[in-house]
Amino acid sequence: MVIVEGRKMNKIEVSMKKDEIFHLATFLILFLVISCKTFHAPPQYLPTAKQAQSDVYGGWIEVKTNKGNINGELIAIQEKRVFVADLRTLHEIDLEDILSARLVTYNPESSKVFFQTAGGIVSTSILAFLIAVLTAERASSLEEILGAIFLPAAIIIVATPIWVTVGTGAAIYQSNLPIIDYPKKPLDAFIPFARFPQGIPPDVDKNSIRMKIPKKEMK
Amino acid sequence: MRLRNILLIILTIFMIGCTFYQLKREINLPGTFQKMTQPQLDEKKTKSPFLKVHMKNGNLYLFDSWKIDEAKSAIVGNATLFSPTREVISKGQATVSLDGVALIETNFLKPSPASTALKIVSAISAVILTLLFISLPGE
Repeated sequence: MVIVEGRKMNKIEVSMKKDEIFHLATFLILFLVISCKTFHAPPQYLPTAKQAQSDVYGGWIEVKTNKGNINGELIAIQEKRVFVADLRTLHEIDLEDILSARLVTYNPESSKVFFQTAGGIVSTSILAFLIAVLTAERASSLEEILGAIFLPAAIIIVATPIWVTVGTGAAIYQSNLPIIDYPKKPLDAFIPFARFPQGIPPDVDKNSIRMKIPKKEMK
Repeated sequence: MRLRNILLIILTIFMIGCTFYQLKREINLPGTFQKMTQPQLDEKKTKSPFLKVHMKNGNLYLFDSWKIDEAKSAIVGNATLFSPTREVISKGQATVSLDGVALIETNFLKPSPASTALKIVSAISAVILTLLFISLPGE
């Protein structure tokens, strides 16, 4: 009876733990969605951090002005103007017209953080389950079987929220790493990520400048 | 025990995980490069495998191997030359005089703290599970 009651209590406790984990996961996912900064770069536009070492174009910029929004490649910042190229033309935006701007310098690959977190949860659970199975195989009584299951189950119950919390924090941090926001940061911080950090040279025909065309496969 | 070995291999892979990087970009005037000592230049070369040389005329040399010549007046190495519209002009050995250079760009990769945080959690999980494996009775 004691064992049966004990098992009932364990089920209730596990059920409560599951609810707590579900609520925590929901909260963390909502927190993740709210905290991650968004941008609208075309697919394949942004190089990864590794690819950005040899990428010869400017970063992706989204500028909000009092005349509308302009998105594209950051070409240069000079003479109190920001030059942004899209697929059709080169925009010259006066600094005084800019309400806010967001520069994305490379692809943060936040999805990899998510997959590593998911992988961590799954592999921890599978391995803990296998330990329980291997230990239970040698058990000769119900008490020994329960004893064999207890520790791996505790590992799963403790490890999952830790993985979710650390994974969520890591994903938020990683997704915000390559983003620079104006007016939070001065526009000078954008300059190293322009196609022409030195400014557009006078001999260059501004009408010939268009944004980088995203490629399906970048080396 | 075969299963135990397989599981330990899985644990090892699980511990390694993958590394996420953050990019640090530095823009230097050619004069700054000329003033650098050889060990400082060597350090830059090790950390930044590519060197981007922004020319005053808007062209860009992308060096995948490079060094500063002995007179510290030119960058020598294997490079791709791009036009201001970023079309490839030429590829191969290049010597670029620092006189025509506007800025020199280096890019360093650092493992992201996000990556470190996940590795710590992976390592703790792996250590606990490994200890449990070791404590399992053998066949």
